[in-house]
Amino acid sequence: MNVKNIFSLFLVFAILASAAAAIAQTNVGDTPVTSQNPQTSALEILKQKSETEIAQKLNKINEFLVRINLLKKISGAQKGAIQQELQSLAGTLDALRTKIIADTDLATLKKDALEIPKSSRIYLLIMPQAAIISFSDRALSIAEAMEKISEKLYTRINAITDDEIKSSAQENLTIFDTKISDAKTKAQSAVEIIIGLKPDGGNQTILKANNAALKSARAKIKEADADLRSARNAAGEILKALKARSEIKVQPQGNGQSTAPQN
Amino acid sequence: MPKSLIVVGTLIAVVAVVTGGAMWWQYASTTEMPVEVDTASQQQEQPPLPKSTTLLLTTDDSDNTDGALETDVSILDRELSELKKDSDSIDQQMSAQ
Repeated sequence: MNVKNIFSLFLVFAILASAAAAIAQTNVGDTPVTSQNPQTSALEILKQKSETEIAQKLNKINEFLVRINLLKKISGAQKGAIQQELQSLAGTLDALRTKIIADTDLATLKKDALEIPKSSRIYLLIMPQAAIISFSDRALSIAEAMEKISEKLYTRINAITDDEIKSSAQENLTIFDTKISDAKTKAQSAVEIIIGLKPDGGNQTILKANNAALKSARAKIKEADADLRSARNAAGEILKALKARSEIKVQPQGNGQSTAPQN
Repeated sequence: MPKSLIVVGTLIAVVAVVTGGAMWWQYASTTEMPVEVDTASQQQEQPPLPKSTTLLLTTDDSDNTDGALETDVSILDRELSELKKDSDSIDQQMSAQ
């Protein structure tokens, strides 16, 4: 290859490379930002996506903060712990949203957007915690109301003179009381299981432990729910017995006997 | 062919290749969207949270007539229905795990 050919090759190479640079420069660099600019478009899309996701999370967190503030049966310390976690996460997400809104270049925005999945790891722990605590509070409130109903039923059952009806009603009252007690124990246990959990921070061992704890608490919740429904069914049986008894009317019988309402 | 011309041509080619390559790399890295913003929690619309409990039995705790007891139990039924929503809410939250 002579010198002339080498020079020609270099020249062609130079022209091609310059063309590539020219094409590339129409998309990035110091060109004015317009809506047609792919970088601007990507910036807007990612910004909108990030803002939407953060807003959804913040709405959910705020809903739980309102709900948890109204809980009655959960201890102040337990309420305070979960409220603090929720407020901290809300603060982090809010600061991230402010930063994302202010971002003007895609590289920074992408870096900030990557913080959302990181906060999601915390979100995915705190939100089930808040849901479990909310459930437990309602379950404990229902159990307390059932205990009051139990007292009323006890008085009514004691006044029954028909031994068979009384015995059956008492059995159901025992079931009622036992199920209420079991439900309370399980609801409280569910809260105790999840209240001390900390975000895993990417540690797989902690992540597994957290997931196992949440599942365990979830199982307790399901059992508490089933206990309360069993208690409700037992109360229904007692009410049926009481109602049937009071509906026995005085009826003239052929032998002159009558069946009177009992008690 | 003067030697100086070859040197200049070579320099132009090297500069153009380096510049072009850098520009393409920057263009490619900014137009692709590798950031996965979405998470499982965004994939499904979650229902609103159940309201806080407002469970109140009949005003008179000592009223144990059939009517009062039936009212109490109907209130329990309403709250147990809300409890089901709470339970569903936990499932929703945990399904995103």
